[in-house]
Amino acid sequence: MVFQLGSALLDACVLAVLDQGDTYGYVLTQRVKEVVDISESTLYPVLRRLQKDEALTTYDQPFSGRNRRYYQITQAGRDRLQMYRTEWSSYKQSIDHILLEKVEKVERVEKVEGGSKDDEN
Amino acid sequence: MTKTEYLKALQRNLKNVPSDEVYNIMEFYREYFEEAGEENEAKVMEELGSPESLAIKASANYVIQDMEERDQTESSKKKPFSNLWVIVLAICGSPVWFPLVIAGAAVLFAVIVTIGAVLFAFGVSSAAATIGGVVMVLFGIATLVVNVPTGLFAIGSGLLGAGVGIFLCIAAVYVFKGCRKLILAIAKKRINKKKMAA
Repeated sequence: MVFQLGSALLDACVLAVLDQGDTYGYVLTQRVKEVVDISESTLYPVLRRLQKDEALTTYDQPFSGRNRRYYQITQAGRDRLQMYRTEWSSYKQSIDHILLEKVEKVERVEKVEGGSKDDEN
Repeated sequence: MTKTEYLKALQRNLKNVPSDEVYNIMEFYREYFEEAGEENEAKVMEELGSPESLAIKASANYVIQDMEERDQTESSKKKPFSNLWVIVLAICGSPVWFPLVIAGAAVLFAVIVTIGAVLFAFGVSSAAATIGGVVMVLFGIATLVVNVPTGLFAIGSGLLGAGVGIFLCIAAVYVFKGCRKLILAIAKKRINKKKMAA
């Protein structure tokens, strides 16, 4: 991926995965890696920060003679996810607007040309 | 290298991380290995990179988060740069001790120290200007009795000096904070890049 992933977007992705259900580190890492190009070492600090911020909690569940640490989204985490969704949608719109809508560009050039004529008068 | 050797090397190389956090980090990666399954051990090790480089990234991430948390709580102002070397190592990315990497670390460290020194000098000069101004004002008040124009002149220039000094002090504090934030931001970007130039 050529675009860099900021920490807010990474937080948002992790919360979105957890919003679909509790899961443990390995699966979480794989799920996030499916969509964004991150290194394995990136996810642990993200989980730790989200936990410190009380956006998620953890609990251990025995699995074949050892413990699996599950991550669970909290209400604060859901609120934050909602905020990320709103922010993302408006961010996405503005980027789409400038990147994808060629028609818009032509219209704007005409407008600017019209504007400069006005300036001459 | 076996999984056990990898995890041991990881633990050995976690620097400046308190023991409970070492435990958490170790548990995370131990679980990661176990979930991936024995047949995928080699693949996981390749993905994670060398245990030394993973340890440095993990340590640096911890140190940065810790500094940020302290910034937020504003509780502890002590030792603002004591952990900086961990970050410097992480920015250089690799514990493969080529002389080149060490040289790079040294240069980077020197740059940071230089910036720090310049800021320090800036701060000290501002403080000196402020103190000098105050002294000048006091001198002016004393001289006022003997010679009014000289006294007034001294008070005036003293106030000017103190004013400029205070202004520079405030500026120095902001520049200092800004630089620290910048270093943290750059470090964060560098550490968590997908592939480090090893």
